[in-house]
Amino acid sequence: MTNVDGIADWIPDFLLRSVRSNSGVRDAQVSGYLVHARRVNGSVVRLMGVDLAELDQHTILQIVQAGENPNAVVNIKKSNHVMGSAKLAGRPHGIAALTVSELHAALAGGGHLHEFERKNVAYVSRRLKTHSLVSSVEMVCESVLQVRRSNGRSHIDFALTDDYKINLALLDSMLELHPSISAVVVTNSYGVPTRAAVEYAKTRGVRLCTVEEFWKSMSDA
Amino acid sequence: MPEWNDVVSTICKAADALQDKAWGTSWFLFGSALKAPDCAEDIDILIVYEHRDPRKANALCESAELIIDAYRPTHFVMLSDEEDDECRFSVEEGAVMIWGRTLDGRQRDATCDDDLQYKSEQVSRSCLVPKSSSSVLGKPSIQATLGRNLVAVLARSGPDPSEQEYGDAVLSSVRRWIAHYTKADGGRSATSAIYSDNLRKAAEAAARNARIVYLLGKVSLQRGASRRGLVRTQIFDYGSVCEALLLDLVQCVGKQDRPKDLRPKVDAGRGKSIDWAGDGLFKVRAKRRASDPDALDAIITFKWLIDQAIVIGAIDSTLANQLNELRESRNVIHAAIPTRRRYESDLDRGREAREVALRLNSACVAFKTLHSLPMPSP
Repeated sequence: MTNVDGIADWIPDFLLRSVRSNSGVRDAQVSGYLVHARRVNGSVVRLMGVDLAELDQHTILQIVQAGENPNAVVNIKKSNHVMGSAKLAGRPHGIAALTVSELHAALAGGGHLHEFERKNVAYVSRRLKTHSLVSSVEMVCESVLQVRRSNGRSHIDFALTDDYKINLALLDSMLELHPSISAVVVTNSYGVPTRAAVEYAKTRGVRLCTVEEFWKSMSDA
Repeated sequence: MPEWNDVVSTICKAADALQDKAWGTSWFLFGSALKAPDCAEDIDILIVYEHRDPRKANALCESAELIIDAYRPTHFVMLSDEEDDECRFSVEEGAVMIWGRTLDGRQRDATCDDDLQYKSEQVSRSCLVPKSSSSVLGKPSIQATLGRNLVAVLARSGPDPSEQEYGDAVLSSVRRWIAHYTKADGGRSATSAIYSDNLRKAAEAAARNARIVYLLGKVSLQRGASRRGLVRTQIFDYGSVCEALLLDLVQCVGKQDRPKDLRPKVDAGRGKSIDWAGDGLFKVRAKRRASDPDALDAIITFKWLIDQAIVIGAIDSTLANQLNELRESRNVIHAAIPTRRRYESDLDRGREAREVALRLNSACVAFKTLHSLPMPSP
């Protein structure tokens, strides 16, 4: 296992404490670098934690080659990314690449971990694909999508947030984490930006909009 | 219940550990962790920062997450004080402040007494109070409420408000402040285990009175002997609440005969059989002493009820000792024993009395649930 990037001795215990608090988990225990979690539906899932700035397809392939066969690989820190490529690479092997909050939502939801997809990500992705000017929508990382347009216009990287108080600190951290984005799409229908957030978005040249507003802007240059 | 205490103390310890990074911030709990901690998937924490530096706020958030996430997943909302004032997030979410430091590191003292009260309220609220009631919880310290009202008066009255307008603002603030907290807990959190309607209403009224006395003491900034008097009143009231809880508990055990054969058969030392097929304890009345027709002999005493609760296994010896301490404090009404002697520790005694009542209520809920004894409908 030493040839897998991002593993560390402290991670399994950290992950164990975290999953034990989940309502979808009956009990859990550590075995080497894996955490075995028994879910309330009776199934047992094997979880592996890593600490990488970006969890990508290379790490997933390293894990597959090491033969550990976890059901999910979790990038432990919230400031870390889980790249879309990791999610794609894990799927054929039945491995979900997840952030901690995704893991908790997936465990609480009760479904297969590798089938988990954030509802707002799935919705926006599905919705945009029906737009006549959109040729593809790809996941860059856990909360950033890239939309490619068919009319020769430039592609757009945008972040999604389902927070319902869009504030200055949230916006600043999103731009810090995802400097390439040119829009932040608010998927929570109750999501309201504060004045400071609106001003800040203007100064940074980033659109702050709802899904419908973003949809309408697809034909803009 | 203990888990809830752990949540609060984990967050406070995390904030303390971050030292000067956390200065100039106030930490609040809100959302599901407050309304239904037993089934909350994560802990919602609001941090209101005064320094207006979102980077600094986010760095603080990351450090805090590393500590608290190990315990349970967290969701942070970081708002500058300006943003919180604009959207009134802390108030509308019913957020409860659990930690706060000024920019120079001093503890925020405007709300700290109440913060401690909130924590204990929340411990009991976790399963005893309807979810909707938590939405009225906010954090208006009396100083902040008065300040806001006075600002409103200035806005309405121009630069030179009259003395009458200032006075009205002060009174309205006090009323709002008391209404706010009594609405959040009108006595229910300490009495939710009581099955008998009449008994519960009486106990709720006593618990509510104690709360109002506490709030009045705070708002009028009473000190010394005046405050001890208010504390004493709270002890009387919480003593009554505990007595009502125990009376109801023993009555339920006796009527249902669950656990089997543990119900008391005779009253407090007078040897009178209790008619469990009839009204049980509710039929037992204090009787006139033969030697002195003006005096009454209580047949069901507070002490007897505590002893019965131990016998049936509803409370442990620690809680029994605390109840006996409260009982003795309540019973000291004597010209030769000054108030000061019984209530030296001032506000702490009022708070302890409240804690005992909350703990006893929790113990009764747990015991009744375990033995399928009657509980009030939710």
